[in-house]
Amino acid sequence: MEQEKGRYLYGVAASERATRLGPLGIEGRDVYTITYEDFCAIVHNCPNEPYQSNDEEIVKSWVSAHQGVLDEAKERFGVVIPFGFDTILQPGDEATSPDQVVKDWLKGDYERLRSIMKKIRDRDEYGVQIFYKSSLIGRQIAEQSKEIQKLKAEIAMKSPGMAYIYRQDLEKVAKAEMEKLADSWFKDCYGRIRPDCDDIVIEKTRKADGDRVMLLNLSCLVHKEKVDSLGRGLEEINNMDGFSVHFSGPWPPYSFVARAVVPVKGE
Amino acid sequence: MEPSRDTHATLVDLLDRALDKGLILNADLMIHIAGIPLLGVKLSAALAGMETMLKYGIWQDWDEAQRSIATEERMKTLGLAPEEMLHLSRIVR
Repeated sequence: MEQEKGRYLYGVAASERATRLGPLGIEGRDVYTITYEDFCAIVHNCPNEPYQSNDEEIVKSWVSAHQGVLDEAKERFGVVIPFGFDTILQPGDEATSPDQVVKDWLKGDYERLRSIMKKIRDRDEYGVQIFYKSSLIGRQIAEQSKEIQKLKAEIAMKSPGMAYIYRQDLEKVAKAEMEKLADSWFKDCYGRIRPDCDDIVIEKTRKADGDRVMLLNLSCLVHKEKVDSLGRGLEEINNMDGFSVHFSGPWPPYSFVARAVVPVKGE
Repeated sequence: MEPSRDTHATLVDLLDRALDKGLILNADLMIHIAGIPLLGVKLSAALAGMETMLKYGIWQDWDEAQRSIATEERMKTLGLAPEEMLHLSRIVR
């Protein structure tokens, strides 16, 4: 279609052969590759417009299709540098064909792409989230902290007015103790996971459901030979009283390709 | 313990990654909306999966991160100094 000048980008792989992947794309679009030397961009043709919808289910189906293409590309080409959803390249002028713009970009970013490729070869991204039960932390500090035990004993002997003031102190101390304990758990868990990862991004923790608190939210770049070892480490954490682990993947290394590619002038 | 990708919970993992991360193109190659690369206005103007994002609580970080990258990119493209960008970023917001 002539008017479809945009190129929706799924990822970049190492392959010098132009390949058709078939109608796997977003909304069943035909996915194919545009090559430059030994790299290819995995694309489909689209208008110069972003995909947008208010319908959550539609957005989910688009993102799933985006991921599906990356899975297929990984299967075929081995290593794929993923783009985020809705990355659409457009030609700057009428004279240059959209495919040529993609080629020119591959050429321009060639060295950078090569170094990313080297970093992620034989590796996948995994999501690791560790939760603890909030009731656990309260119980543990009540048992362990001498200061809290002392305050509690004092409260028991005070008049109601004084007990109120002491209780405020108790809350403050408990909060500090909780933070200290969570911090030590964080360090302990992180320390167990780190050796199995080539790279880690510490993500912001999110609100969890019910009694659970998210202690740690990590994106891990893991060599394929280290995945079992990481799984065993997480199993140990998962078996600890009051702890649970969410372990997802393998994902394309979304979290490990962005920074290195933002070009910095003068570099 | 085996990693999983099939449960409902891993959908959030996918959205976190596919919407927030991945390789970034030079801003001048991206499609633009009203002169701003999609990168920077992805949420407010383009992908109205906004509700999805709000629901999963990743809207704000994502938006800020994308905006800061887009702003940096535009600064380079336009050759502007950071203080000159203030005006522009106000318009974008």
